[in-house]
Amino acid sequence: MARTSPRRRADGGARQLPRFVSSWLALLGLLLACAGAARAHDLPVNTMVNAFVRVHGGEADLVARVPMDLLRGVPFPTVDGRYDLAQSGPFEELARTLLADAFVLAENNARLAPVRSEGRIVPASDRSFDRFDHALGAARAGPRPEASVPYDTGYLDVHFVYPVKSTGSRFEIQSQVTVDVGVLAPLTVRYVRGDEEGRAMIIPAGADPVDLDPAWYRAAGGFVRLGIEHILSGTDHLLFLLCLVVPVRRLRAIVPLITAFTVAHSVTLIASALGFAPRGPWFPPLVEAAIAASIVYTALENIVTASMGRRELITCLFGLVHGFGFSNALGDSLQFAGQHLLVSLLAFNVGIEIGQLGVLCVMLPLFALLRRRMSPRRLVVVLSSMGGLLGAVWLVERWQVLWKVDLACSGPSCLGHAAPWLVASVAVLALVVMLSAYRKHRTSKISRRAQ
Amino acid sequence: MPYLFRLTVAAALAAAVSLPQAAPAGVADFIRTQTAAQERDLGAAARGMPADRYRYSPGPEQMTFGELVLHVADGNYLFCSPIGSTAAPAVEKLPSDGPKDALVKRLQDSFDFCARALATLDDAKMSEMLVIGNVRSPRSMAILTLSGTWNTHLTMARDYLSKNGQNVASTSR
Repeated sequence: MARTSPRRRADGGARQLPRFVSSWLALLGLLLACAGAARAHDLPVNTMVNAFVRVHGGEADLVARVPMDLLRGVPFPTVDGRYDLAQSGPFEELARTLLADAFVLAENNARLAPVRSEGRIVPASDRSFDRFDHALGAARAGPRPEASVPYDTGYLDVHFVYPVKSTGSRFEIQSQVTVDVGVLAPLTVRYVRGDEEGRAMIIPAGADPVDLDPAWYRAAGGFVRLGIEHILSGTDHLLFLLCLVVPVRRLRAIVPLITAFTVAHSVTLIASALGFAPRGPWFPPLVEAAIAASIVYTALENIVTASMGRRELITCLFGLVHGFGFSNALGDSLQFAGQHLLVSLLAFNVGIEIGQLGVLCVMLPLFALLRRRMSPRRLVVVLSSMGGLLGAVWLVERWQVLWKVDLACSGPSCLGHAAPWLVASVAVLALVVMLSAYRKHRTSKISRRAQ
Repeated sequence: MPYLFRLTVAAALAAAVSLPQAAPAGVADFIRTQTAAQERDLGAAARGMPADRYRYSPGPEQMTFGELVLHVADGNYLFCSPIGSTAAPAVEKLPSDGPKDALVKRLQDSFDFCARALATLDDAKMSEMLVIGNVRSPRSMAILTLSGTWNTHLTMARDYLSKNGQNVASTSR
């Protein structure tokens, strides 16, 4: 058997280095691109349009409150920087004509046309949109020429009446109010069924029509899709999954890890959606920072120790954190569940598991392929160091966000005072656990050598 | 006879109902009126600014006056073409720091185009979806946006004129 000469080994090493470096750089580029995508979650300043829809006795009422600064295109008359409400009638009518095209109310996929409309300009201090009957009463009350509304402030309250075929039909709504502004002008709509007001749904302008009272199977289908989309676009969750499974070579060993992660995140996802999670403004950034910390910890553990002894326990703990992260993403969408909160919640979780399994189906064969080209240990170190680096970048960014959260508060959200310290404690604890594992590993290695 | 009379009246009413009715021209008339008014006011503002102040900008992040004039002209072609279902003419690219006369002419030409494109507009297809740039919008909302941007840009132009010691009143309606 021919031995490899030092020269050949050196050549081989020299040949391997560029490939190693290039693959490292390619993967790093990919991960940084993903990091950019993950950062794109800035919250815009909203110019919200509020609305109620009620279907009752052969008619549908749509009552909407539109901010006046969205209606700058209508030349309302002004006097001394205030709307001249006595002269505004024809312009209010023009605005209602324009808005009638912007609110799309459909019965069984057929667009409804309003048969009459009414409304008036109200000052920003008006509070009549807290309930449907108050809002309807205010929109019907007619103009208030004595009111004082500075230009570009206040609202136009409008009421459209649509004839409907049956109250049992399927009704959908879509907003195209200043659709060019998109998410900056979302529609918040509440569907009124009998005397009961449903949950508020926030629909971006130009988004697809939304079912005002969806059947359970429609809600479930939508939430399965949402779960799949969320896990596939959640770079941080995927990176954690990567760091979790990269050192594990046997499928039998992966199953308990994935099960632990799934069970744990399901518990916090459901608990959170049912209202058991803290509600302070500090909580979402804390969860985001903890998710980044979970990536850093798992990556470092992969690099420092090859032992998988406590991985299921750690996975379970981090799974709880990721569940809160999923619930933050779900929070905006659960409004579209109609009466089917629990079904939608379970469907979202099913979607996440489907997405997770899909990712593993790609990831595991890819790792098997890469292990043929480089030593398994090197693969673990390379991927974990990249994952850890990216996780560390996120951790710093998210820590900064968490640090900026206004902690001047009262009541339960005052727990926010403890949030940065809580994260720091978790980080220190993780470090201690990791160092102790490393020490244990070294000790056992030395004792084996001694034997 | 009364039966025949009633039948005739009923037939006449049925015919009247089935005749194509002219759509009310409320929104279409509104945008045509706005086009004429903004052509006059924005045109007066563009002519009122001295040529050597076309590079004036109130701050580093804000448009120069020349850029503002060109922005309004570009917006006119962008919006009036789909709103009026009329193809916009190919216009050569003009630098925003170009001569005042060229920029004023570009603005005037764009308003002339809007006036032609919107001349036959009626209210029949106000809910029809248009593609403006890369955004889909109903015609009525595109009209609201166009009119709103004119108002915003006229306010800006008057502010620029005022900060350069020009008589804003001469550009007011």
